[in-house]
Amino acid sequence: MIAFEEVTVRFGATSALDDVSLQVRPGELCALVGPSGSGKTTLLRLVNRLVTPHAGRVLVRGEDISRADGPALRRSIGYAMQSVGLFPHRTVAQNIATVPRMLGWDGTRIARRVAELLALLGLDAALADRLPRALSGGQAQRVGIARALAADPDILLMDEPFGAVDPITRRGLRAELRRIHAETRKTILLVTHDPEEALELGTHVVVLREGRIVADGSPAAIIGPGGDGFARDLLGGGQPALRRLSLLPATEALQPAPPPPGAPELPAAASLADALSVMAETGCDCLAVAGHSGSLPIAAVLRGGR
Amino acid sequence: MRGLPPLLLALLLALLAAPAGARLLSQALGATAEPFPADRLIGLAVTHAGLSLAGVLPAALLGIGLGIAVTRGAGQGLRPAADALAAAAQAVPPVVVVALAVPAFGFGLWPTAFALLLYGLMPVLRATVAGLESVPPDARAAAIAIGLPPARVLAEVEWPLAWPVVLDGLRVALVLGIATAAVGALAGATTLGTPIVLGLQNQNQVLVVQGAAATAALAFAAEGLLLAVAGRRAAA
Repeated sequence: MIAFEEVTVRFGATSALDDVSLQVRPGELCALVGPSGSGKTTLLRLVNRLVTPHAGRVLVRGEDISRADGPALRRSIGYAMQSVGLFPHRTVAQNIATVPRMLGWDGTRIARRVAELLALLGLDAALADRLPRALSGGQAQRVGIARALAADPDILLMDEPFGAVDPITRRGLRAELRRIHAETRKTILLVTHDPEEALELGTHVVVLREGRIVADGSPAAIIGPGGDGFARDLLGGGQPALRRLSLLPATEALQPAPPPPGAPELPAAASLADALSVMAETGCDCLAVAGHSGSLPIAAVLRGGR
Repeated sequence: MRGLPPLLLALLLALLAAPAGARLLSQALGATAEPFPADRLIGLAVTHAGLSLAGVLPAALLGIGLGIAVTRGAGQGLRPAADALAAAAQAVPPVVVVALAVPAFGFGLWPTAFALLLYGLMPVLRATVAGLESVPPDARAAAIAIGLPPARVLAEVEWPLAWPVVLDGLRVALVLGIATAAVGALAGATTLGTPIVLGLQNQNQVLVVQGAAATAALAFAAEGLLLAVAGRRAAA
């Protein structure tokens, strides 16, 4: 869906990205994570040509975008950013309708789409006629995401979209992004400096450091034992093995033997870290999983961590 | 309603300029001179207003155009030159501009219109640049990132947000222009400056007061009307 081929970007004498290659497949939620100055935002902004590479190519939907019309390309790709940038003189509905209106949608179709997006983002329909200054931080972020999704783009770029809201709102927004990704199957590129966010949301995680990709793969693979040291340090929070267990579903380690009588039962959606937590709490070294026939002994849980 | 005080002031000044008001004043001062007749005063006010607009409208268009040009990526190099030009235009006294313009344009309305253009340029240019620079950078960045081409970023985001500041500049330019247009009487433009010049020549203070009061009334009326327009837009 998106491919970077040996891309180099320089700002003056410093290089922001150095010979970077990356493939993002359709439907992935690709989290770009790294310390500030690592080039993750530059990588994101290459996709809709807000930044042009000094060397290498960027392909979107199989086409080299260096020949595309910039504004038209940007209208086909959703964009949401930390500072949101709602237009202060326009209502919430008008803000969301910006791109559809430019694409020439008729009034009823736009109104229907705005209502649909307010519902998708969990916003009260009564907010449609408010001006952005009447919104809370979390509401503004949601409206920003609704505006990005308005013309139903197949690609969505998000530059720290939850950076400016409080931790509780951020958790709620993350859960909603996961739901929206699951419902719409859009290809999403998400820039974040929050390792937890990258692991929780990403189906594909890319770790950047000083303009280079140091790790690229599934979250569990990146913090697994063979992973890059910098990436494991950044994402593992000092306990990479525990983090990894929290990413693996408990059902993956199920053994065929039936659980011992009276074994505590895990919910079907639990992770291996949840299993370990229940074991530590109950003192039982073998668990049952709701809706499954096998058992989950501690040895299998620990093996999952490798 | 911000426009009300200047409009009331305009009304008071207009009453003072009217022959009845002027006669009262001249009697109080012990003078016996005849005031300027009302119908001629109204005729002069109309030419005065027309001349002011003829100078300020081009100044507005030029100032806004320059202001937009020097805030675009490609035009930023012109910014110091435009600032210097506008400051220089403002620094020359209007009397001098009118006097210097007479050889080029001859007597009549044009030297004054030219002086008003130069005089109105700086407030409009400054206000346009200030207005465009007050646009929140996030809103502009978002407009570009979601795919508005440059002309629509300007038309849909930057201009509506800059407009209140620009309107303030237009108001200053128009009020300055109306006040300055009186000077045109020296170069043969028949304006509300004409009674002032006549009064000075004939030592008739009443005519001077009438011309000055009528000019000020017109300026305050313009100020009040533009404030009212701005207020309505802000409320909408």
